[in-house]
Amino acid sequence: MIGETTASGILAKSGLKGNKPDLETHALEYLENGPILVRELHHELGKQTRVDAWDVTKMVLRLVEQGRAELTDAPPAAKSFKEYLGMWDENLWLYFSVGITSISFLASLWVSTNSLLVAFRWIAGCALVLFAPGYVIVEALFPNKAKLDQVMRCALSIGLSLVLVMIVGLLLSYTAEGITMIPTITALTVLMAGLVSVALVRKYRHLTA
Amino acid sequence: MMAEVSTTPWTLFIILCTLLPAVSACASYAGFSQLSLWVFLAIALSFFVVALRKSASDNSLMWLVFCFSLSLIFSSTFLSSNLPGGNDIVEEYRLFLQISQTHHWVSPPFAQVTGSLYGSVISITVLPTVIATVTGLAGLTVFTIVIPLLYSITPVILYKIYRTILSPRDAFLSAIMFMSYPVFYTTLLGVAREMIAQVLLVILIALMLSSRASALASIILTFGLVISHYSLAFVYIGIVMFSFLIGRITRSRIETPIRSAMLAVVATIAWFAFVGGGATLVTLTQAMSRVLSGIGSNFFGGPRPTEVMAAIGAVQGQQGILHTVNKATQYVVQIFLVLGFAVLAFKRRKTLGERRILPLMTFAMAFLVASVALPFLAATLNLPRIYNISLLFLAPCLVIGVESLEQFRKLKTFQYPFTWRLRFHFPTKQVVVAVILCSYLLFTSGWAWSVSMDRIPTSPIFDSSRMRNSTDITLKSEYFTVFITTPDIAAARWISQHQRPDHVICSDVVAQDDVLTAYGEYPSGGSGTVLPYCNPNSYVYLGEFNTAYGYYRYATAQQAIVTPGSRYQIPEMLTPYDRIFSGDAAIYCGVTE
Repeated sequence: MIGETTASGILAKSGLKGNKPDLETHALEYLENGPILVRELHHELGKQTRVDAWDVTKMVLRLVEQGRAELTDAPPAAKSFKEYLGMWDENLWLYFSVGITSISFLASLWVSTNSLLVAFRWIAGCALVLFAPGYVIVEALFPNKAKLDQVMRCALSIGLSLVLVMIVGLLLSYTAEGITMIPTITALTVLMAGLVSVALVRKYRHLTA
Repeated sequence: MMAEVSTTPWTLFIILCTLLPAVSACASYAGFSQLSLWVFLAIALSFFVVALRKSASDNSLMWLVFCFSLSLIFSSTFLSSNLPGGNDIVEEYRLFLQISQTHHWVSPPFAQVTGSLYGSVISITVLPTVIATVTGLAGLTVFTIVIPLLYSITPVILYKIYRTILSPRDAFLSAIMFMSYPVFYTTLLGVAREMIAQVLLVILIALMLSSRASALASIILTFGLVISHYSLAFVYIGIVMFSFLIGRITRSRIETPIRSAMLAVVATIAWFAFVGGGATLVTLTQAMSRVLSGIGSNFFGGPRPTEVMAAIGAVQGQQGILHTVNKATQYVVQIFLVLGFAVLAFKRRKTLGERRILPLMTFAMAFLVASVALPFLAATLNLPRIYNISLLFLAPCLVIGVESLEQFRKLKTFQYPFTWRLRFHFPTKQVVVAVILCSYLLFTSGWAWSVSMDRIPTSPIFDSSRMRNSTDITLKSEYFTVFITTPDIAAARWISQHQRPDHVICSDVVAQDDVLTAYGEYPSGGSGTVLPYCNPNSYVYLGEFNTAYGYYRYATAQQAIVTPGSRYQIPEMLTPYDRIFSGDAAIYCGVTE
């Protein structure tokens, strides 16, 4: 977080040429309104000019070195679990997982293979079987997004989902009902509920640590 | 510093490449082979676009790899709405049908699995059943569309693996090298269990090479690999054991994957010895003893793969300038792969990524050399599939090999400046690799033979109609082996529903292994007797190929061979009065005592 500072005097001191004074000027204008996260600063600056996160980070560090801004740790983003659940951008994975599981559960039960809506069942079912379980495990194992890039997250999600679904099917085949519709979709829903709970706790702990 | 604005031609190129999979699928589905030819040409030429570009982001290159991967796979999967014949997928599909009808997978007892090893494989029994149950998709769609779609991400993960040792453009070209070998988009689409297992294997390898490895993810994936495919499980054991040993011998500071090795060994033995009925381990030991006895008794005289014999000139190849260029391309690729491996192996200062990947490459190279050198090994394990697995790790060696040659040229430039100096900036290495890959793809895919109207068409993608309409009965037979036709399916389904229990089915060997297995649900090779030796109390199943051309096919150890024989001579007493099913395929109930 960048501490409060005044814009006057800083502009007079800067004397840089080219794009840098513009970027810094804009940044300092935002700082006049109070502390702001570096990520949010990048977002705000991005509205006016095309700039990448690395440039903003370098600029902030430069301002801190020059004593024109202050950098401190951000407070925990959520004070309670309830508040955490309401954080939209942190919980997209949660909404996706719950949404896909619910849609697939309902579609499997109510959309027959002859129905016009069967395409929804195909898509939601494929997402549930081939992606969602692994995706939730990856979120639980790597709560820090920076630790694993998107492609590897996606690949791991698919790989882990395949294995989990095979194990679930294997266990189901030893039950009296076997691999039939209701036991299968129920088992997958229960699995998802368990995995989502674990992932939720781990991500919340990571965020508040 | 402002972010660079992407140039329009590059963006346009990426958009056009994004459309390629759809075009490829439509071309194959409509049987418009001319369009497929253009798709392959576009893919081959696009190598140059990437090679000549100064810089490209990882994301755009990965997207291109994915688009090309999908295009190549779709060119095969959409050729027919039925299962592809001549591959393991027919037996896999039959086992899936069994599970989806009984809803239970039962650990196969030893006696039942000695004929078919696939019963112990969960990736083609339980997994498709769950997918079909939840999504409502037909089993056929799961096997021909969903599983190949999953498999299409393999080259993208490989790109990520190659990026640990190569630049983005070189990693892209290496991923293309892997894809250009036709097993990727032809043979493997007929082996569903290997597609699933390869996806899991490359993810495991990517985790193994990553510094962000997660033990839990590795354990889950290892178990998944073991229950997905026995051969790749053994390969994975070999890889991790070899990496561990190399790490110990060289005392490198790389983390040794001993836990992974032990886990893989224990899971494999536990699964295949106790749950899978033990047949897989018996087959493995039989294959090993066969190879060992071949080494001891008949090392030089033992059978070697046709590809190897052709490569050393022991088999007479076809003549002509295109065939010579093709042969040269194949030699160049193999030479650069070996050269690249040697350069990397003997490099003095290796990066961390290179030190991590080298044991895997060494294992792959040793596996490949062994399959070429040892008698019986390639015949047992199938050389093209071994090569495909080896390329997972060896593909970057092509770029490294060309790069080493470029360095050699630079050395020469220093000594003889007047003869070797280039007058303009030119990304020599990438362009040379692109030329090799372009030529390699166009020849190995059969594109060149289709365009030049070569006497012997090789590709069902480009030449299906030429194969079907050929006057050469061998080519016709090849067509009917690859494509299971709808009349044959109708006849197979009819006989499976109306067969009397005291009658067996007599058919030619290809029908017995393909259509009667997949659609009649008879065990592969176990539906009855083989033409022309029909037992008493047989139904005679004659497929479209048999009825239309009057030929039957029989099998040798290597492949199905066509041999002439009129259907009215097969069992001589067959008459139109004995025909109980009519269509382009026919069934006779004429062989009775």
